[in-house]
Amino acid sequence: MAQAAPLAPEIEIAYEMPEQATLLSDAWRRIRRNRLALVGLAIIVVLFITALISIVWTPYPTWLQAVGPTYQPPSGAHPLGLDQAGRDILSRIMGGALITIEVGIGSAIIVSLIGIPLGLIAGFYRGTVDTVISFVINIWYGIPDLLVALILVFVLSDALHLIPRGVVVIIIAFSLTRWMDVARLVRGQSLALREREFVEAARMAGARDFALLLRHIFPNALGPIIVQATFAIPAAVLFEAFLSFLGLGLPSPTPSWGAMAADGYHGMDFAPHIVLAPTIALSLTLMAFNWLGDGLRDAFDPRMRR
Amino acid sequence: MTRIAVFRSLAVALGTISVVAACGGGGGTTSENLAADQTLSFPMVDDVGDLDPAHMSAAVDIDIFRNTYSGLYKFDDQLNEVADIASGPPKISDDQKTYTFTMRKDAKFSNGDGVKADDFIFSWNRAAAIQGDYASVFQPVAGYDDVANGKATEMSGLKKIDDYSFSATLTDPAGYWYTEVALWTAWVVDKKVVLAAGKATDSDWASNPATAIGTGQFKMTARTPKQSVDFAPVANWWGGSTGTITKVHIEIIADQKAQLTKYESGGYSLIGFANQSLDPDDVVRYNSDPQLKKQLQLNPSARTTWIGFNMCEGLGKPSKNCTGPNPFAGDAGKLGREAFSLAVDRDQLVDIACSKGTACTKATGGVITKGLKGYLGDNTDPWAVFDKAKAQQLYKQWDPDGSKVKNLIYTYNTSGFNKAVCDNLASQWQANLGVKMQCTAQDRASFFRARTKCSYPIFRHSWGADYDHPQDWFDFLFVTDAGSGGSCYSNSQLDSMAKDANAKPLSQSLETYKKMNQILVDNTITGNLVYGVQQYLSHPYMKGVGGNALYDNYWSDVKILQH
Amino acid sequence: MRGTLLYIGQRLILIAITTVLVSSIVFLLLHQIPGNAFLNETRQSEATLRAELHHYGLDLPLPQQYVNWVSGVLHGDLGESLVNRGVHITPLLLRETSVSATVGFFALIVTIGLGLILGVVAALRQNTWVDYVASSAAVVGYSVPAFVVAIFGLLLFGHYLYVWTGGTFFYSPGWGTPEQIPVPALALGLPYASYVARLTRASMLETIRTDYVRTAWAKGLRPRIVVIRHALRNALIPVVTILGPLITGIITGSLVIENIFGIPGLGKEFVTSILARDYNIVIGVFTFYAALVGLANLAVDVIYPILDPRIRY
Repeated sequence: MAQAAPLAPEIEIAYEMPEQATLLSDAWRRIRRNRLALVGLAIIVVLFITALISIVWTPYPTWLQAVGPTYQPPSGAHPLGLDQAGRDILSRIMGGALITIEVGIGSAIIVSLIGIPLGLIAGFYRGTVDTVISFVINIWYGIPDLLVALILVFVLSDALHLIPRGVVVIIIAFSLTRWMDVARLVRGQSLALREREFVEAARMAGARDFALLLRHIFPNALGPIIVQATFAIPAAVLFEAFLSFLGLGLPSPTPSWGAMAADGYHGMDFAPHIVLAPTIALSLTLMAFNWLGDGLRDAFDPRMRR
Repeated sequence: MTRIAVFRSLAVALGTISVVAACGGGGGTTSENLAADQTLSFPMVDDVGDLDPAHMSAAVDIDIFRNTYSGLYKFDDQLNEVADIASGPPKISDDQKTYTFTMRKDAKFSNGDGVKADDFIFSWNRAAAIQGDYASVFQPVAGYDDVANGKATEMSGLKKIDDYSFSATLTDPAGYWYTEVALWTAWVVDKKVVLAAGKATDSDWASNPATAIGTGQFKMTARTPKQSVDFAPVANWWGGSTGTITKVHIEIIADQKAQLTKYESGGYSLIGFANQSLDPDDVVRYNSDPQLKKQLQLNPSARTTWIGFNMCEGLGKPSKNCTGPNPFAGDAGKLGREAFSLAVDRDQLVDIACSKGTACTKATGGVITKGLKGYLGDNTDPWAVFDKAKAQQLYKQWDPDGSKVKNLIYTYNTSGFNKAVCDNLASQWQANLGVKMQCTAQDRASFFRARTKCSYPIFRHSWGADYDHPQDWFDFLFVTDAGSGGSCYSNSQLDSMAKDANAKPLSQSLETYKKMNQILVDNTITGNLVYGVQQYLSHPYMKGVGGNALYDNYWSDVKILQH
Repeated sequence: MRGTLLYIGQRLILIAITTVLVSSIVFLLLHQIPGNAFLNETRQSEATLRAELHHYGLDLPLPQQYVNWVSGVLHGDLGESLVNRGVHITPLLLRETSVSATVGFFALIVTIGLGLILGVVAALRQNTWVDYVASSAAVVGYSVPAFVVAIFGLLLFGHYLYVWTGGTFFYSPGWGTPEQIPVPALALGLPYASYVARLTRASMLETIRTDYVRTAWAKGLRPRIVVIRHALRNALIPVVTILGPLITGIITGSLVIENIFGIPGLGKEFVTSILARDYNIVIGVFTFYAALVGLANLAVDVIYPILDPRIRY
């Protein structure tokens, strides 16, 4: 008896479609598994919320002195205590969160705005353009950046009075001395990516250079760019803190954490709470951004696919 | 010869009395146990600026080098002017214009050279030629202008009479000149040594311990720039004893905290000499601990800090420097000045900016510091009190819509203290008047330049008296086109009172000066804030540490007991 | 040998050119600033000002000043301090450089030593809690700002140690005794130790997996010998590659550390002079720093082939 072709067994073949693996969703999945990065992210979220709240409300005005006795340690009315001028430290920490974000994010943006275009064209066009830009980058690397940045702040603000003391001049000074990191990274990416097939294809399809750079090369370099920008934030915050510590930072009585640490540094022996609050806030913020940056770097790294 | 002997024993007696007084007034100080190591050591935050007396202007330099240089007259520990190298007060001619100075014959430089009238005339002429910051001490002398402008090298008014006496003729009578002659610009330097090292106007000789020769009790023995300076007593000093200290070691440590740590471990004898101060937080700590407080001395120091108001009313009015109107100027601005002054609770300011009263105290008696001649008396300034309600009322009258204080900026020269004061003023004005003011720091040079041109509507001003005579205040701060004014204040009545008072000796002019001070108070020309305090921190085994309103005690006053 | 000397000579000339070039920028930048550093609160006459400007050559036209300055630099004379008359800058900075170099040298030892230990330990115990802790410690190390480390260091070694030992042993800020070196060196070297740790860890991990190491293991050699003789030496090489930026980083970091610990080095001088508007010294310090960075990188490049014979120039 001729039997019919054997029927496929009555098993539903469950064919699992791999999830659409876009860069960002893939990265997000990997970050979720990185506990340190998540902790960092949580801290950053708290930072943002605090900064936003401080715009409309703080327990006491950040500038108001003699709210209570000077140097008072933490108490019920003032959970973080009072500083050497009798100002509420909790309110000033909140205000400082806003400053930190302004300086950090602002610097990351400006640094990217300078470094990305330069890196892109250096890697893409190569030749003389690349030689010139690479030469400038190398010269700039040979100079201790902190010194130049200090001189810049001093010259722009105090000496020439071009830009008043404030967040803007700090962002400018920082960006002008640290753009090379982004530029070098993007240049490397640009160099590598221009050889890839999809770029060739786009070029043969008639796309112009600018479109190639903007729509093909740049988006694919985005991962490392984001990582670099994330690392620029703690560097900028550190820079501002050191400036304020020296007295070259934001004008008084701006509650920058660095300035608060400078104020409290001298009273360390008998009123450590004044220097500890901003110091811990700074440390947590810097660690958070570094952990996030590390996590992002691992997440975007194609070699680490598991 | 007998007269010399009498004067000499008088000087020795005066010296002994002041030494005894400095040691606490008790008798029998020679029976105290002195430590074997009589090295006096203390720190400074900055290196000395000028070592040449003709250049010197900073209190730091002067406090140090008055131990190595001296002149005809000096101020004793009570700020009385007494003879030093001079053998007595000058003989003043009847027209008040010619001063005849007679010198002791036994005064010697630290290298053994005798001090002659030639040395004094040389020193004074070179100071006038060098045009250091205090060369104006010789301005009353005839012929000064030509030397100052480089047209001559010698002031025509100085005449040598013999090896140990000379005279100075002034262009006009100046009652305050006798006080000025005791200042550092008039210290004597060794003509031979200076000329051997170079031109008369060169200063290199002063930085080299081998050639820095003076007539003081100590001489410089070593110097490492920005690190340390050492001194040792002059053997067989012509004036008698140089005290018990055998070595003075000054270190430059920029961080006050580091200084204190080293002091606490015994590395320094004291902190505070040479116009130094302690970190505000440390002073508070010491002052609040009953045991530590014993090491701390808080002496009034001749400095007043006040709110400066710009008195320019329009272009060129009242001073040629004026570029435009200012909200606080003139009669129209009087209510504003009063409101701003009344809105400051000086107790809070002193608590916060003066480290709970250890760095400065309330200024309630006019612009001249308490303890100096011309002070009006405690609580005589009606605008230096705190009256929030009245301040608000006056402010509303003066500036109902807030347009006058829009974008108001208070400028000060960079310093921790100025910052603390401005921050507190800003906080109080915002809390009490609702005025938002911004504090801006400037570097010294730019600040003084701009302030002298009356560029700031409201600013920090402060004055440390150079000598105890009201002329030092009015001539430089409040007469029309005063050199260090900053407010472009001009009052012809004040000007003529000043001219009149300056010509007379102080005993006759003091009342006039006080009236001038009262005019300033009545019109709230300055918002007087605080008077200065000089802090001295010294170990219990240190004796003789301290000072008066202007100067530290001489190093020869200091003793180190066994410990 | 001659080749190396020639190379060094070329590099030295390059360093001199770069130094002058870079400090020229600062020179011109600072000389654009109107006014000068000389005003005083009490009195100042025009004549005094003129005399001061003349003494320092500031009344000459700018190109002339520049030429004078460049020829001075090439002769090693950086001029005179504007604030402290009579103080010559070159000997001052030389003295301060030796101070900075001392601290920097010990900081480098801390960085490399600590970094190597952390990295090796983390690599050998990969993915265990030891690895995790060491890596986190490294991250904490460079996240915490220098002055935070300094503050805690001061609190710990200055205040608490003093209390715990009843005043017999403690650290006091300042300079002059050997005991004052470890704490600042630690504060300076710690942040960079983490970079070294990372690199060492990664490099060690790679090297451990290579054939020749496995072979050595298989042959029965004890693990410690394997690690020390084979893996570590090769793992050191990437560390040497970052030695240049590491030294530059330590030089930069000394700016912060010296100011906090009161160490009279170049960094402290720079900040003091900027705040005091002593432009001559600012330019001088900058020149020194530029030269130092160049020389440090040259030293690294010269030492590199000694450590790794495979490299040839």
